[in-house]
Amino acid sequence: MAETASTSASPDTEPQPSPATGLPAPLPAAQLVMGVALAWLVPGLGHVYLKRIGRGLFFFALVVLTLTVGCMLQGSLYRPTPGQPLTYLATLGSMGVGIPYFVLRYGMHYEGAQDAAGYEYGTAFLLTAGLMNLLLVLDVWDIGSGKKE
Amino acid sequence: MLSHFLLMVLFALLVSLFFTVLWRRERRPQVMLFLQLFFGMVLGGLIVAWLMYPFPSGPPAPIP
Repeated sequence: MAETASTSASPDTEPQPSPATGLPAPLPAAQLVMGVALAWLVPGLGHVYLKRIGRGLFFFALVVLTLTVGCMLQGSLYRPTPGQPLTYLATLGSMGVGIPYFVLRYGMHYEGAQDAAGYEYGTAFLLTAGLMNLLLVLDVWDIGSGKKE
Repeated sequence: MLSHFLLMVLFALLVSLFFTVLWRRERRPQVMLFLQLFFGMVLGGLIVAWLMYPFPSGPPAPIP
């Protein structure tokens, strides 16, 4: 019972490196899934969950800054548009940023302004923030499964 | 203050910082990778802009 509980909680100590490879030991599946989910929901939270606190905070600040610049430039936060297949792909990329996407879209009703001077740049910043966070999710997966330090 | 070039530099800065911390752990390799990525993107952007200069697509968009 205690063992079951420990697999669903945050890892108490940083995974010990394997003597053979120098890489951390793989986490149990439940912790790995939790880390990946947290990494998607909040940028950097997956790294914090894996005890990479400094890097997690750094990534959080960087992704949020990228998102903020994109919003200040009034870029487009992609949504699916019928007849334009690439918007589905771009929407997935934008949604990669996790909770902030839904807060902007449904909480703040952010849409961007196509006639704004920085519209194209802002769109690039917003999409990049989502893609950055997707890479962070993959990074958490690699760390948690013992493939990366 | 808002200009195409400054926005490109800001974008290059953020992306370079991101990949530097994502891909490298030690300070010196981080600095080397950051410089490569940052100047690669900025100089690459300038070169592409220079190559596109003879083929304008229309009047430049107004930037405040």
